[in-house]
Amino acid sequence: MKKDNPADKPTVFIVDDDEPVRDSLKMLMRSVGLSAETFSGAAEFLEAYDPDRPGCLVLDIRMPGMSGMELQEKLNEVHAILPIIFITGHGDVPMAVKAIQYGAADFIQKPFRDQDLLDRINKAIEQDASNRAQLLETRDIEERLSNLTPREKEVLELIVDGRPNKVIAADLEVSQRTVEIHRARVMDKMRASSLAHLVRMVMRLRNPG
Amino acid sequence: MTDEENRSHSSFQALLDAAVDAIIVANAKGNIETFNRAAELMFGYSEAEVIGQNLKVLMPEPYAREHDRYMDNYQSTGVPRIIGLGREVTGRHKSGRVFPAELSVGKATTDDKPHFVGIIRDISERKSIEKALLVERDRAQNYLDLADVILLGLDTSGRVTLINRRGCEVLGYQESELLGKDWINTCIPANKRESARRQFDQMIGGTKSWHQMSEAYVLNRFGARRLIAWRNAVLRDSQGKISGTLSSGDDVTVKRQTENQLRLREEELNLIFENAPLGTMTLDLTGRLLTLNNALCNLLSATQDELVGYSFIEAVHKEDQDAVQSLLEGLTGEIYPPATSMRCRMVTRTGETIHVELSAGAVHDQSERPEFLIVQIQDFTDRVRSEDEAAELRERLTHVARLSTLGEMAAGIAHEINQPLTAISTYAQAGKRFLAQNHVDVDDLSETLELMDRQAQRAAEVIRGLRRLVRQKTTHREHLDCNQLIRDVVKLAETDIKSDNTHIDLQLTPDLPNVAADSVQLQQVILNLIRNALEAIHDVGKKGNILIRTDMPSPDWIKITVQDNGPGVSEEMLVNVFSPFRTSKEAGMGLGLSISRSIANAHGGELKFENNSGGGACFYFTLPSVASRD
Repeated sequence: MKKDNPADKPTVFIVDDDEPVRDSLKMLMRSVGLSAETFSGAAEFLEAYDPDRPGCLVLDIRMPGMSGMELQEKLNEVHAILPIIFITGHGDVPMAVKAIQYGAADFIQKPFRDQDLLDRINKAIEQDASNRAQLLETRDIEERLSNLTPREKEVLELIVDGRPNKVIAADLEVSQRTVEIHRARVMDKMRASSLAHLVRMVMRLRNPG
Repeated sequence: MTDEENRSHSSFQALLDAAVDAIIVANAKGNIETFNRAAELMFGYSEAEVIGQNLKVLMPEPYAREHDRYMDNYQSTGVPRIIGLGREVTGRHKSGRVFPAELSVGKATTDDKPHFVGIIRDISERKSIEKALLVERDRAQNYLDLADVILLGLDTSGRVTLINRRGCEVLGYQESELLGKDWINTCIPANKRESARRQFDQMIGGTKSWHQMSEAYVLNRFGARRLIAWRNAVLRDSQGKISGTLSSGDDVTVKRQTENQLRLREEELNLIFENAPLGTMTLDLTGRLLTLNNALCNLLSATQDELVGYSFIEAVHKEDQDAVQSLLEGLTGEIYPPATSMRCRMVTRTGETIHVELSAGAVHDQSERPEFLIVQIQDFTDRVRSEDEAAELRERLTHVARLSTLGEMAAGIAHEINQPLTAISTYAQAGKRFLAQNHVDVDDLSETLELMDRQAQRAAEVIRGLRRLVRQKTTHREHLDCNQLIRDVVKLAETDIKSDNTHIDLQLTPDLPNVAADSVQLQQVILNLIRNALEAIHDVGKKGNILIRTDMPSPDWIKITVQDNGPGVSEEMLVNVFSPFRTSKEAGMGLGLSISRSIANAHGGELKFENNSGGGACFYFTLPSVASRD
């Protein structure tokens, strides 16, 4: 598993078949100091797509070849988390609603005011960063969990369920002392600062996001 | 001869002469001694001629020769052969004529000499009667034999006295095998004999009606049962005493089997009729219901009792009654009509209208006259409904297609124009930001302005292309009736109106000349005007009225007017009503009227506008009529 580099600067990926549109958008991004990359079509973007690169995707909903919606579907298939802002034309609102239902972050109808778009982009980038941080944490917890022995995992489950050591000892038919040892190891391996921290970490895995 | 002898002799002579029958006395040698008056008449000889002659002269050959043998035999054995009564012999008249006679011979002995006395009766007449009777009997037998029924005669004890040929055929016996046999024991199946005997005894005893019919099985020679329909009568003799029975019997075995099969078939047909999924009925020639099956009852939501006897036509939809009536009348005509069918509507007992296919045929009697009608009714209401639904769906699709042609065009145009607009706007805003940030490269700025100009040109080109498109797209022209076109479009537009509190009035001038136009484009113009009016009315939120009018301002021109009671066109919009991208509507693109005008122009007409004096807008467009072009 490739480790995320939190230092990676977010990138605005712009996919539009209309060259002047994507060119002007790139210029707009540059004008506010955002780094942008442009793609003339969905296929081109998919080819270059790297799930570990943060940022957001600005996507024209109507394009020849693979449409924006189809690209969204493809990205959903690979569980991409990159937020998508759809640019829609006149009369595409129903399509945009559908795109939102499929998990798009937002949509904006052209022609648009630059600030509106920039606000949406900034919001999407923030969302992406938070998602990635959360994801990172989850992966970290998963890794710690994978270091536990089966017996330690059993003890962990019972701890999280709120059983006192005495009960756990009876359940597992071991001495209370043994449970205490397991418990200490679990806390250590999970790098839990407190019982509450431990429970939170396990809950995070049980209910991701 | 003594007196007494004389007396005796003369009285004997008188007796001889008075006798009706011929009386001849011969001696033992057969020589004639006495020949009475009747004998003279019978044989044609006088007494004098035959006295002393042998009896042979009175017989023809070969009896004459045989007579010699009798006599010889008698001479030698002393035993006479012919003593007795009623022997039939043949006599010979002096003339040679031969006749049948009955001979009785007695023997008398006088003076120890035997004498033979023969009494002869001419039975020619009896014989001829007998012969006639025989002929008569043969003829009767013939009749009996010719009869196709069994004729059976029984005596009082139940023995067969008569059976004809048909009877023999049925029973498999020869006549001779049956005559004299006990009928019941021979020909009645064992288990029926007792009751048969009882019945027979009752008939013979006169306690039972002597003339009656019954059906019973008989057993033939081969043990097979045949069912016979009997007619029985008792016979009485001249004293009126019952002397036997006479029966005629018809072998109905096959007939009953056939009847049975027919009955089964009829029951089968009845079952089929009753349970057929198709509504089926029979009508008399006046159209009254005779029978009908369950399916039809269900179809009409009525019971048998509610329908039988009533006129079928009453269940037919009012508007279809004439057609159905004439179909049924056609079937009852003299000529043999083929079965016919038609579609019609019927009304159920519960008042529901159903669509049916009705097939009717006449059933004719042997003289080919129609006797009654059979009608089958198939319900295809569901089919009609789904057809209606399909038609409605088609219409709606067409509607959508027509709307979307304009709508899609507008969307397409919007996209085409939005692209350069978006680019221009984005470039401009990026430029402004760069300017604000104070690190402006003049070359960069100049390039950006150049890019923006190019996009503006691109947008202008889209509009020009659109104008050309509309102008060119007039190739598919046909002769159209504007009034019809308007009615069609209004039907389409009504789907939009339903939710609105708006009414469309039509004032269509009849008998307008046609116009040559592309129907889709023309519909779009009218539709566009209606929708504009609807939207204008909707914006004010009052009860809307749209009036669509057709006129002929001159023989060469058709004028179509769409007038609404909306807010009308504002002062500021007035100049630009037909300009593209000028709109007073929030959702509009401002292209509808522009395109509509282009279409009107392309057809050689004009689209114009004025505000009504009483408020609201009035758009009208003119088109040259076809008449003016020819």
